[in-house]
Amino acid sequence: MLNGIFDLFANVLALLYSWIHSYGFAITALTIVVMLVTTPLTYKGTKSMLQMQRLQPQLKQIQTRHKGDREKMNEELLKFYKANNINPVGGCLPLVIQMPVFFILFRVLRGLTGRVTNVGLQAGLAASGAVSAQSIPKADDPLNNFRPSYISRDSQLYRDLSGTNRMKSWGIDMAESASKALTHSIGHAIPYLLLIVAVLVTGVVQQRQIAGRNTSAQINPQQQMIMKLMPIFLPVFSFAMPAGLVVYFIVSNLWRVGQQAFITHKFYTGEHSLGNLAVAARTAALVEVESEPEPTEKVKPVKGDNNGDAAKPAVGRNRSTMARSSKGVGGRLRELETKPPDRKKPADRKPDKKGSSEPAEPPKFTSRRVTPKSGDGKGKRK
Amino acid sequence: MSLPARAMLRFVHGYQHVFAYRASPCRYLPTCSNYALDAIERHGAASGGLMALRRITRCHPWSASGWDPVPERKASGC
Repeated sequence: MLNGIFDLFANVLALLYSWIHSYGFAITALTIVVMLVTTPLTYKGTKSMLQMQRLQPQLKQIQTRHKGDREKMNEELLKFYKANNINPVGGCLPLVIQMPVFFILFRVLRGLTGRVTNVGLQAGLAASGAVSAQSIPKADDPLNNFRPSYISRDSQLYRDLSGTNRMKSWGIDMAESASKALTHSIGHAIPYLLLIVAVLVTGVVQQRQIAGRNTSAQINPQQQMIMKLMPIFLPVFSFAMPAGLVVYFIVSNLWRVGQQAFITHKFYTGEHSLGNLAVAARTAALVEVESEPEPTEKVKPVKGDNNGDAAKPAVGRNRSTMARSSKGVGGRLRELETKPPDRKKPADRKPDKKGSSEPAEPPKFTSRRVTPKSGDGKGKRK
Repeated sequence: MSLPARAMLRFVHGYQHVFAYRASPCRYLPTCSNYALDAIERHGAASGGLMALRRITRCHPWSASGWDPVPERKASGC
């Protein structure tokens, strides 16, 4: 199945190349095709999410009213969605599927620019004394021509690649990484490094756009740090990646900048815009939580926080660990107030418990999930 | 809790932190990541992880939506 996906991408690239005749622009075009497919989903998904966030207080009421009765809750929720014209369009799967596109492209690029030689034949000839052993070329010798996989031998891309040992475009070998280029000379590596700078710049612009949407000034420092560090990961990663993949990163970043600008313009302009109403609903829900007295013994205030959120109830199984990591909890709660399109909204989290193992929990809030158990907040990727 | 389960929880927490800036794309309540945390905590790395994966695979534009918590027992979820 995976090979089918690689074939698909490689053949689309071959088709684009047959029109464009430039490796760099063909990769650019392929990126645009990928983004064209995903953009409507992103747009509609954002819209429905903001709609749901705006109606969060009501959604929460429904969940509280019918806790424990799964069927009734679902029925009411669906009725509510219908009445308010909410149609959840997106989903997590489309997003998860998008993530490995870079990996697919990486494999496709590697496959297209693989160098497989007739080592076996040469070795046989050497063994029989026909040629000297020294003349046997290594399989990955950069002087060998490419042997593209995934694409048809009749395609223009195959013909062009198999006739060369460099995937040259814009003065760059699309199959070479910046780190490898640096081993030649700095001068040789400059165009590769410029590509990486472009990834960094487009990433920073994107991050600024998203940060600019959070009109409230207070954002938790930990979250702020992650936001600031995010645009650095990709350029660092790009160092070891073939230039063709770096082109994909740049083009997709640029596309997303445009997409974010459109979403900001569409949903976050004006006091009564969907995005801003969603922020207001969310903030209101949190203020309500704050003013509520502790409903049961399960709720513990978080101590030692200096940003004013300490009095908020920390609910859930992990409450003890939350109390321990007061910084994380307080900071996170603050963030919940200030970040409009956040996934960790109270209505989301509270119902986790309902109708299940802890029916006696208070109806409101919250963020137990968000605080890593060790309290350091650095989620590890496996 | 087993080491793989703890690692998986850390992974999901990390995901939530990194993507906290944007709206959740999820069509269910609780969201897939919260569901995953709950499933792994309650049913362990293997069953919980599988339940989370199954949940993600049914979170697409042509499936249902709404209230969908982690089932009480493994059997009913997987």
